[in-house]
Order: sequence, then structure tokens, then C-alpha cells
Amino acid sequence: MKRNRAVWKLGGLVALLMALFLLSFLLGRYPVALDDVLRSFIGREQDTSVSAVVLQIRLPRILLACLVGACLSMAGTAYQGVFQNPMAAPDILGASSGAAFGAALAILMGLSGQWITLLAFAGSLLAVLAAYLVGQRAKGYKVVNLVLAGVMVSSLFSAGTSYLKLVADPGSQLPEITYWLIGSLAGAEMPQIKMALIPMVLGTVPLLLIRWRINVLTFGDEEARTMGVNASRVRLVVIICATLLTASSVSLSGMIGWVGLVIPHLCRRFIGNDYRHLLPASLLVGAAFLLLVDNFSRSLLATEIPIGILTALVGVPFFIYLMLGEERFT
Amino acid sequence: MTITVENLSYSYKNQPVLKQVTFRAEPGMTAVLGPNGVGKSTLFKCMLGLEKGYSGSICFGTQETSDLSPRQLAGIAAYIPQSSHPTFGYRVFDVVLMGTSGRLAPFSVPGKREHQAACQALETVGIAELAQRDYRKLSGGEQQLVLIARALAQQTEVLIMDEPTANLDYGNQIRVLETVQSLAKQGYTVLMSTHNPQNALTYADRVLALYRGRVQADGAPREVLSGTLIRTLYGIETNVEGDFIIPGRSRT
Repeated sequence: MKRNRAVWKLGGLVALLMALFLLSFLLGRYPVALDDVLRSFIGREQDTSVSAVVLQIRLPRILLACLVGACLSMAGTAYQGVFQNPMAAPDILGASSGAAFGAALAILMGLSGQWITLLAFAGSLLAVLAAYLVGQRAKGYKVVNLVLAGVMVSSLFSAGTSYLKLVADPGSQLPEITYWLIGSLAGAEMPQIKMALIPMVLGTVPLLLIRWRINVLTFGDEEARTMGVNASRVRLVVIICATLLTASSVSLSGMIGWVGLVIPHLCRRFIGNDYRHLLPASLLVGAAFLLLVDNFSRSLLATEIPIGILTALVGVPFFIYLMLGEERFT
Repeated sequence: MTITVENLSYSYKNQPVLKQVTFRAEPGMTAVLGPNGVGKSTLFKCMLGLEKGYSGSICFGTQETSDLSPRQLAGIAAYIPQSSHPTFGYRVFDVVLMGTSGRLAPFSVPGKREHQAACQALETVGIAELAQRDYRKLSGGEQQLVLIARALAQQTEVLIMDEPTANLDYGNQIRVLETVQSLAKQGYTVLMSTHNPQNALTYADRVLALYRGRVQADGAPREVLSGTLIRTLYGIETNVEGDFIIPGRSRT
């Protein structure tokens, strides 16, 4: 991939995301025109019910879809690089179920807001490190080992979450926890989103800064070291950042599968494997993808289809296409 | 740059691998010769700072390696592995560009200077036409040349190669060895392990023969390589006649 061509492609993705972002405001039962949207943004809309729909109902939801999609997709891309594993993704490594367990535990303890994110982060980090350490020590084919370790860790945390549901107060806590597990963007509210923005930025910025070194890590730790890259330190930074992204998106919207596995590979096909372009591309495509899917989720049927179901419907066939494709996949 | 190794010993799980290894390597090509499993790779790992628990000293010029950070070490010695299989496919140019990583600040991407270093490394090795190809789709010999270019982009005086020809067919072996030889003539200090004494005899300026973790012989190839040394190292009979090692018992 020539450098300039990759920059053009990234520019195209930015334009695509912006167009999709604006058009998404037009979807929904209450009719809104594009100029209404723009007027609402700059505070010039006369009709208060229109500006309320745009700014208080649709904006949070659209923002949430973009943020969660970008975070999950970037986390998957980053995990794949530092684990030297094309199968690595937040859902496969157990990062998502670890985060869900942490969030459920926080709800059970009556905590809220940042504490939910913090406990989700702790659970998620614990899960990823456990999967990594087990996968690393097992003998044999490393790609498979990490996936198997992730499956085990995932199932352990899901069992933990089931227990939490059992002991949760069926009146108030249980519905809240259950909602988390399904994965939905419907509960979007501006204050929560603003709060989640902090860990999201904290995870994204270091990843983008260190992205060149992730390339070097895909050649293995020893080679990276002889090229002057401290492989274990880079890996630790990337794991912490990617896990922070996973945890903050899970604590906002629950478990939404497949985005973190499928979008990175879509981007690899589109822009190449160089993390200088791949990481920004997965941010943009992840945001656009989840926004698009969420638009279908809220407008396809009269009742909303949970977004996790739709991402699986899109993700699984694409994944099968990758597996059966011409290029060697793992 | 002169490499000085003194009394280097290393044990793995209480099994001694290297015993009191002492030698000096000057600019030019030093072939580290010995059968598989005599500690050639371990010696290199100690020199590259990948193995820590050794005793003795390793100096590049006047600098003791144990005092250097991985980044500083990467500025002195570059490593060329036997083969390299990245998880994802990269363009050859980007693989070579990765050699410059050690000189970059941790939070930066390669700039103009690094791109020039990579271009020049590709030119030196003579594979500029491969720059846009996918590294994973190259032949083993071409991949090896890319790894050599990557090491050159690292801009070090020392090149350490672990059996660079082990996986190559005959033509590619010669191609790689000739490239390495011309680098050695340009003033690089090249340390190359090989289990093929003929390669050492043809291309090296100096031979360091290791056997059971010890230095068995050290000197100019034509002086050191003899039927006796090869019998000790490999347990086979050969005749060394001029520049050739001929397998089989003596016919005279």
C-alpha cells in the first residue's frame, strides 16, 4: 500500500463517516430534515420539539453507536497486533465477559457511573491477562491456544455473571444487569456518554501514538527487541489501552459481539496491515459500521431489534467469507 | 567495530551450554561453525541481550553489553534471524523501515530520514525492485535479503546472522552469502553462524569453531579448517584440498 493512497483512503473514510453521521439523524418516526439537523446543531432551530428530537434523543444514540463501534474495533485491531494473533478480539479474549462481570458486580454493590466502568475495566483486564498467560504457557500452536484460553476465561466469567444475576434483587438490579448482557444502544444518555469519553480518550491516544511499534511486535518479541523495541512494555501499554476501550464501551452498551473481530479484518483488506493506517481506519470503520447497523436496528421493524443480534447476523457471514477466502487467514 | 568476548559461560537448566568462550571479532566476516546444538544460537542471544544469566563479558568496541539498554544495543548490533514470519503481511519497504524503530522516539512514526535509510538499505542489498511486494509472498531467499536490508536500515556496525542460509536452495544460499561477503568487505563486522564448513571456507575471513560449548578453533579459514577439525565437529571424514572440502576418506 503506497503511503499517499492510504492517506486518501483514510480521508474517504472520514467523509463517509461524516455523511453517515448526518444522515442518521433523519431516521426515526419523527420526521426531521437535514437543514433542521444543521440548525439544531448551531442552536438556530425555532421548533423546540425538533431540536429536542435531534439533540436529546438522536444525538446521544448516534454518538454512542460511533464511540462503541470505534472502541471495540480499535481494541480488536490492537489485540491482534500485540498477541500476534489474527483471532484476537475483545469477545474472544474474554475481555467483554470480564467487563460484563465487573459491571454486573458494580450494579449489585449499588455503585454507579465511573465505578461501573472502573470495575468493568478491572474484570476485563483480569480476563485478558489470564487468557494471555495461559495461552502463552500452553505448548503447541499459539494462535489456537490463545483462543482456547479466551473461551475458558470467558465461560468462567459468564458463570460468575450468572451467579450475580441469581443473587441480584429481581425488582431493580436484575433487569439492569440483564440489559447489560443483551447489548443495546437504546439507553443512551448524554451525561453517561460524556463520562465514558474520558476513559475512551485515555485508551485511544496512547494507542495511536504507539501504533508504529505494534507493527514491529508482529515479528515476535525477540526480533522486536533486537530492533530496539521493548516488546513486553509495548504489549503492556497496548493491552491496558485496548482493555480500557473494551471496558468503557461494555459499561455503556453491554456486550456487542463481532465488531472487534470482523472490522479489523475488513480494514486489513481495505488499507493493509500497517498500523500507521490500520488503526485510524479501524476507528473510522468501526464507528461507521456500528452506526449503520444501529440505524437498521431502530428503523427496520416497529419494535427495536437488539443490536447484538444484528452485528452477529452481519459479522458471522463475513467471518465465514474470510475463513473460506483465498488468503490464508490464521 | 571490534567485538571482544571473554570467558563467556551460560547454563540452561543447570546444563552448561557455553563454557569459557573467548574470542575477538574484527570488521569482516567471522563464521561461527559447529554442528547443530553446540551453542551458536545461545552465543548470539547472549550477545544481543536476549539471554541475561551469563557470566563473563561481551564488549562491542569498549562498551560492555550488560551496561546497555535494548535500544542502545540495537544501535550497535543488528540481528538477522534464520527466517521470520510476521503474523500479518507487510510490504517489503515497511519491513525494512521497521529496522529504524530503535532510533525513533517511542511515540513517533518513521519520518523522512528513516525512509531514506530504508531506501538506501534496499539499494545496497540490490532488491529495490521488491519494495512494493508483500513480504510473505516472496521466496525464502528474497525474504532473507529483505531481512538483511532491514538490519542495514538499523544502521549498526555489527551484523549478527543466525544460519541465514539454512532454509534456502543452493542458488539463494550463494546469493545471500555473496551479499553478506560484500557487506563484510564494506567494513561491517559480520558474525554468521553456519553448520556448513564449505561456506565458512569460501566466504569467511575468520572461523570460530564451537564444539560442546567450547571454542575448538579460532583463526583464518585456510589455517583452521582441516580434516581433523571437521572430524571432531561432525564425526565424518573429509579432505580439505585448497579451497574445497571433499567428503570421504583420503584417496592418497
